[in-house]
Amino acid sequence: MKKAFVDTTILVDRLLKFGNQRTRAQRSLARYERTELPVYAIKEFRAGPFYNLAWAHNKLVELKSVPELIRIIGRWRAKPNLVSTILEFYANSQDIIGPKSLPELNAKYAGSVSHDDFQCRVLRLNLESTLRRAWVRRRRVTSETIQELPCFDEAKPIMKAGLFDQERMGCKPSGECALVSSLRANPEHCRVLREISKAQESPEGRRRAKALRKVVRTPAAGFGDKDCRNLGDAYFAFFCPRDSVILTTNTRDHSPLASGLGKTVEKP
Amino acid sequence: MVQSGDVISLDEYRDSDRGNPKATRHRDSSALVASTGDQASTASNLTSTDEHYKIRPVAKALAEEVRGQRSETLARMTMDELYRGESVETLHLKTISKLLGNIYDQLTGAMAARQIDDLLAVDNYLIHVRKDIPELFYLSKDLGDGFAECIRAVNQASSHLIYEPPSLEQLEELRLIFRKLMQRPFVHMDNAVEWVTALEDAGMTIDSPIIGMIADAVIVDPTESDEKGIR
Repeated sequence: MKKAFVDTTILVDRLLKFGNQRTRAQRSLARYERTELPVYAIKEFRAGPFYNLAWAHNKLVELKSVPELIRIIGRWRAKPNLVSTILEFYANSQDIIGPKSLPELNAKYAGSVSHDDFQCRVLRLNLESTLRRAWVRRRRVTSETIQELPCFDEAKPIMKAGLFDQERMGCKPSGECALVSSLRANPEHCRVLREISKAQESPEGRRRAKALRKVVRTPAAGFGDKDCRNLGDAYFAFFCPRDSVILTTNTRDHSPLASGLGKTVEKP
Repeated sequence: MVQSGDVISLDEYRDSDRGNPKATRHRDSSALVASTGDQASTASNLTSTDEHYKIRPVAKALAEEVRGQRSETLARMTMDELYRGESVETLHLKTISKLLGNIYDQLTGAMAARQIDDLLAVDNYLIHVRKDIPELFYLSKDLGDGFAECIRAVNQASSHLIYEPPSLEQLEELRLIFRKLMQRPFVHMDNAVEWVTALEDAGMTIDSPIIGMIADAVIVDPTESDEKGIR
């Protein structure tokens, strides 16, 4: 049976991306007889991509202006070309409700709604709806959801006064992290993954190596939510079942880790 | 407690507007304020006087609370609005009801045309639908975010149907949304999301391309160089 162990990038492309990325994710999932999503991917999804898009929603509520939001995103992402593309598209967009008939509607109902007000409301609703739909569908992307994390609170995202709650909703382990005992059961694999992570020489690799060091060398130390998140791609290499392949768009980072443990990575 | 005279179904209101003398009688369980069983007898107490066509926002909001749903409408009300007891005219319910009915009828026509593969007629019906939607969205602020989200999604979906004819299933899903809105215009966002998901599942595009662009911009691509962007 052809099985895929699905990583967070596929979940993101399927739930929060549109067009080619979504289609590619859907098609790739259909290639396998069985697709398995570990709850760790949901945890990463929630703390990263979901959180970031919820931030965009909240920022739009605060700024009450779509062009302003796009400029702020540009300032933080430092991608002037991307920003000008979005702004240009926004300015020329004909598919947003109302702009053409807005003056007539204002006259008819004695209102004073501006185009930006109108479009801001449309996009705010669209962002909220996208996030809510993504959350509802998170466990429907694959045929199975596996490897539950007892310390991860997979609660529905909360909205307070029109804003998504700020918390990243990570783990809240009452005792030890649920992953640690499994990781410690195979210290040799942890050491291999740590060496590979160190060799990757990226900030993410360094964080991962540090988290794995905690598991291997200082087992008594508290392994918290941050350490758990820092495991990142190492989680997938370690926990991917032997008869499965890791399905990810990020083969660059996953391949060395997976091959170190004799496992395979496939692209969508 | 919600008084029975405070609530009527939107269908009833629309029928009364069309001059149906029986319109004040309860036709189905689609009470405007609450569709739970204990509300089933509410409309039977209504009379046809204009006074009874007033929707009291407090009663409406309370009814939502009674049903255990978060009341976005209540949250958005000022104290003045709470105590004023706004009329139907103020809340634009009359126009909303008429527009919902019009769109429902147009979609019914489009479905009949689709069944006989008269694609030109289908598009003609949809042109009328698209014409009414901006006004409905404009007025949706009176009915809260759930209603507005349904209209937004329908607009997005129908705007993509300009170049290719919809299937019968897609038209049916669109019409179903309007049927539900006619019965329960004060829809909670959770329900609205469920309803618009059905449009997406039927193969319709309900998200603006700008959302995709914003998602691309704020979600860090792990294949890009590390530590850039909003993490």
